[in-house]
Amino acid sequence: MEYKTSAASAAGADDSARRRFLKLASTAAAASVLPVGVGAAAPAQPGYDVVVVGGGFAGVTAARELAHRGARVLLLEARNRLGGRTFHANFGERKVELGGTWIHYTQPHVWAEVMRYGMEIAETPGVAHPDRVLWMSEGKVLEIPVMENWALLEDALKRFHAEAGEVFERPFMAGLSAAGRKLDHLSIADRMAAMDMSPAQRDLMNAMMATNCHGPIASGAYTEMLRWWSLVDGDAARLLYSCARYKLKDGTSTLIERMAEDGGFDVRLSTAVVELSQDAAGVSLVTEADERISARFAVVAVPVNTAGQIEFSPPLRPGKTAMAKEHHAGKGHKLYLKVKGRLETLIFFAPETELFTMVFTDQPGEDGGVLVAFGPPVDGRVDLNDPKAVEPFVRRFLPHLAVEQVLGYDWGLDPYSRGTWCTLRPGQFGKHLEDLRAREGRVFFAGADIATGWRGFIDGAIESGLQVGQAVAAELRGRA
Amino acid sequence: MSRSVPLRAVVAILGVLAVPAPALAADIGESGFVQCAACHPAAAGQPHGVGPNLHGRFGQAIAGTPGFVFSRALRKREGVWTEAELDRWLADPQAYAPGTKMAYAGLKDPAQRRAVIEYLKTLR
Ligand SMILES: Cc1cc2nc3c(=O)[nH]c(=O)nc-3n(C[C@H](O)[C@H](O)[C@H](O)COP(=O)(O)OP(=O)(O)OC[C@H]3O[C@@H](n4cnc5c(N)ncnc54)[C@H](O)[C@@H]3O)c2cc1C
Repeated sequence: MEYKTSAASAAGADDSARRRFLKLASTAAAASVLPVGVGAAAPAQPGYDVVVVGGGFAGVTAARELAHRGARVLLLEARNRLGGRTFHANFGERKVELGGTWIHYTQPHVWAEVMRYGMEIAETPGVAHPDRVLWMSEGKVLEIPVMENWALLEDALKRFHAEAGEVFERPFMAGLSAAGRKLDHLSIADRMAAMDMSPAQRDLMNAMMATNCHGPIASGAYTEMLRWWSLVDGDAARLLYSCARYKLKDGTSTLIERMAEDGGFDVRLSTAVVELSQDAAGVSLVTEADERISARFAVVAVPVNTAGQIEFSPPLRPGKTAMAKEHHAGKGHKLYLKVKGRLETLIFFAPETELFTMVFTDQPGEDGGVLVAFGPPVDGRVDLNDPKAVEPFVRRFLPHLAVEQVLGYDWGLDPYSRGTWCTLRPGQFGKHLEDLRAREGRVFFAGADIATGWRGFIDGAIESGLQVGQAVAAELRGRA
Repeated sequence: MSRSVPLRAVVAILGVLAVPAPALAADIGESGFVQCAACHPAAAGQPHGVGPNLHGRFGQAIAGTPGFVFSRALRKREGVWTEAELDRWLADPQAYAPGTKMAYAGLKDPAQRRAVIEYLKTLR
């Protein structure tokens, strides 16, 4: 096996890893037309076995798997960085995760990568061990002891997910069961409407669910929440911890760089694909800069919301084109708030009619700290880039705080994501998922958005990348 | 990007070296530019990030930074980054260059925009 970098040196600090990675990326860019192990005399268009479109966790995993099996792989990424919907970025003097952040040992694919590369884990205090839990209901801020609040939420979650066992015999099963199809038209809101809850419990539950689907609870499918519940074996604490407790100490970028470094495939950044056609002999791609690249197979690992920006010929299955128009429900915002004033380790909730549905301490401090906040789309009604516009919400819970700085990333505006994490809308699971996952001739599809288990999570991206990498490798060996 | 210099340090160094940074700009590390800095490096010689390095770009051609691949949308805009152009761009990037890759809804407060533009002017 040939490695593209002299990655022999032990895992270094963040900085040196970054440098090694940049070296890899620029080498790849300069020699973009040279496959692994071929000298300068090689023809200008080498025979790539596989072109992978999209350098998020799904694409990078698929590319690594294929390259490790000896395939010549080129990965094309539209943005000037790998990582896709994960983005470890500067927030003043510290770094924060503007996209996908938390991982958990209930998530087998990402945890295997943590073990493989010896990644260090850090905890988010506001979720791991909050000293206080507050929530807004009917316009008032309520607070009861943490464990009493938890009992209220747990009771609602257990009743809400009552059908999980019927719908998912066990997690990680592809497709939706007959029982699931009967419920797939229901939104989270529909199912909650059928429950008996006090206003205080209902608003708490609304906050949790609107955060889960990253939008109004009428936009997310009930079946999606049943899937999450089956993944955590119906354990409410594990659900919360799977979503927001453990993260990579040195950032998601460190993991993806390790994977890319280890991969042995060529990478070209700032290279958006605009056309993809295929015939019996192979695939042919056109980039935004009008460059043509061909290969035997393609793996398309872009978000389902953006697939419509690539012109496919022959056209894609109806489920794929429909999703590119309908989009999934994940359209909300995630912001980091740097606050002044004593910040405890706490978490607070509010229903989806408010600016934020879930806010918790990322970094506590005597004179100030950092909160991380999730909310449904605001559609321009509030200027989320203005600390003064978000401050009134925070002060209703913690009147002594001032919001000094705000940082988020507008995933909905970004042409290469057009949304955040994937929670399907009512009906999409049953109607589109099979089409979304299906290969089309020489073109295979990967991504967190179409995973079977932790769909919508980093784990799902890796699950999907592994499966598709395996499928294409089998094709290359002529087995399929 | 992990190599980026804290903004306050950048402002301080620049202040000492050459341009007398306007008092306004000194606070920038604390306000508006923090949002730009998630994607844009600003120290001389730093490689481009998700967005191009902004060092020395004030007064230069729009979408003209060497080594960065701009969207078609921004490449269509002619001219140079004057105060007026920057003000329109930062207020609403999608309106200024529909289809831009810059995933930012805009800095709506004119005073904050002013401060960011003053800061950009010091980056040379
Ligand atoms: C705000 C936010 C918070 C989240 N929180 C969590 C969390 O805490 N835990 C968790 O597990 N998950 C979380 N997620 C979800 C997780 O980040 C994603 O599900 C996962 O990273 C998606 O990986 P992917 O490879 O399938 O897609 P992406 O990461 O979106 O990668 C797709 C890639 O394709 C590229 N691309 C698109 N179009 C083209 C084109 N035409 N040509 C070339 N390249 C193209 C994109 O630039 C991108 O790099 C979060 C996501 C967001 C946005």
